[in-house]
Amino acid sequence: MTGLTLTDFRTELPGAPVIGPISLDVAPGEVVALLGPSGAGKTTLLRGIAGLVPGQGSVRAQGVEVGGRPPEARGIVYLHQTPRLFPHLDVTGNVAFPMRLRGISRAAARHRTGELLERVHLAQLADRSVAGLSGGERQRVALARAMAADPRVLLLDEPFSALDPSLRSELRTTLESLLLEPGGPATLLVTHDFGDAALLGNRLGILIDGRLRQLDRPQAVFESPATIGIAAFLEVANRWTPGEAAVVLGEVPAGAATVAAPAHAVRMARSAAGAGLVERLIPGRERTAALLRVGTVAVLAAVEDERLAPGDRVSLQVDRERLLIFGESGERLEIAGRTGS
Amino acid sequence: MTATFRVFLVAALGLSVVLPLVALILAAFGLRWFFPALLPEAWTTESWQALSGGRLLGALLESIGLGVIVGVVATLLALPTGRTIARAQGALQHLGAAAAFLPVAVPPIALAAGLQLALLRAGLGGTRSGVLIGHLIPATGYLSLYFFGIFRLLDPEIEASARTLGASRWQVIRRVLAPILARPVREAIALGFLVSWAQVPLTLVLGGGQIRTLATEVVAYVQSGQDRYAATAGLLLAIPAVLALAIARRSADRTGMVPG
Repeated sequence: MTGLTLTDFRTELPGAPVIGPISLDVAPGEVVALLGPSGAGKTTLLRGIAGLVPGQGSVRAQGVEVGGRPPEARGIVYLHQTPRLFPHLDVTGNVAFPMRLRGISRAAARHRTGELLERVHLAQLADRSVAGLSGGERQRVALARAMAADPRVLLLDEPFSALDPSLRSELRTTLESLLLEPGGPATLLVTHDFGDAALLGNRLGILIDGRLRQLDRPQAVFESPATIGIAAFLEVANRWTPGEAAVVLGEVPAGAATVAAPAHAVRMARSAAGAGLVERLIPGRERTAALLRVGTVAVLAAVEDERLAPGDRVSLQVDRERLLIFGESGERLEIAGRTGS
Repeated sequence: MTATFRVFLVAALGLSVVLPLVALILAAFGLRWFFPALLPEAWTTESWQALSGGRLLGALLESIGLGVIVGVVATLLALPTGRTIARAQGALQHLGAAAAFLPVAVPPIALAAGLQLALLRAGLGGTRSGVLIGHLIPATGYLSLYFFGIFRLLDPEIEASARTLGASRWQVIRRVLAPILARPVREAIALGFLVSWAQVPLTLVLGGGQIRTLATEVVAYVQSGQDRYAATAGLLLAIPAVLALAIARRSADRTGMVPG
């Protein structure tokens, strides 16, 4: 396996929670997105892999063990959440920096810098001081500089978090074009944005309390979170106790400690005799959700009928295929006959 | 604050700097200047000719030599000290900053009195080395605080960034820290020079009258009533400060940040 391979990797930073042990493979040209609540150790993990904080266990970059090496000898580039540009160099000087370190001639470095700036759409700023750049421009300079190091492994720490939405999507497109190509670096992308993770990640990992709890295709993780903790983090709309599930579903799946259902798994039909009462409508970016009461149980359902209004009574139908059943241990239980992901 | 009052304040401030300088110039070139005459009766450059040799020239060279050494050595000591304090955490940082502040806060004469005993015991009483050590103490403390401020503004993650881009520790120093710190280092050398340049009590006590600098000569000339020489030495003493101000003004113009 080339790219990045972690085997039982841990970081133990004094005064911070222990991260790991984590084992993970990222192929060249692949992006693994890591999602997790703040404080889950995402940044510490990346810094550990980069050698900026002490780590134990194995880190292999392109098949070579680099765990014991200093940061500069790992072939791993770590990109900070807020870009750390060199204030004494202009845009070109910043991008050329890693090439000049490797003894690449000024002319060759300048040529390659021009290409990279072209790719991040900053060619017109080549001779500008970095002091006057906007946040989005700074992030793109940092990205071009990282690519100039020809990294085997690229670690991106929330690269979009400081940007406003229009710049985010622009930078996301730029990143896609740079990373997702054969021969591209193996990339670990830390984010707390589900959309970024789903769009850029070939695979999606969930990091909670310093451990990798699930790793799968983004769609699979979103549809079938492995534990109730992940379901809660991913904000699966409905999470019912067995008692609540009995009220809503009329039965409790065997062994269930928690029954979860996404909002779109709950269908509503207006009916004067329905069990659900629409309490209020919650507008969303793509879809409006309705908060219902079934007896005393709160239920979130996706609204399909635009005439629905608070005070309406509705009958409910829950799509059993989409129910997520979690046992006492918090692990998801597979239901017989249900096609897994 | 009314506009008139503001004008008054600025004028008062300006005059308080300019008037003594004008008086110094008149006294340095004036011959027979007695109260209540506004100007001297005649002019002379006699005290300036003394600069071609003798006491005044010796003192000038002594001051320049001490100032340059103190500026350079104090900067070399203070840079790593200030960086260590800036990178320390919590109570340790407060302790470090307090330790650096102590030699700045203690009156030089008190420092001199204590230091003299130690230097005499080391056989350095009344020597140039003794005076140098004395000047280095407040200068290093002052510059440590200066570099503490510089390094607190300098994000340590810049170094981390350079490391993961492939720079070794040495390359980080040579290609990142050195160019960023070039200007603060130049300023620190100038500040250290000025601390030594203006120092009187430490030089007098530790030098035991053997080491004569421009600053101590002003004291000596004033005490012996040689006003023209006192004024001449005083003018020479003011030159570096005026130069420093002019340079600061020029670099401020370059960056577009004009003071005032």
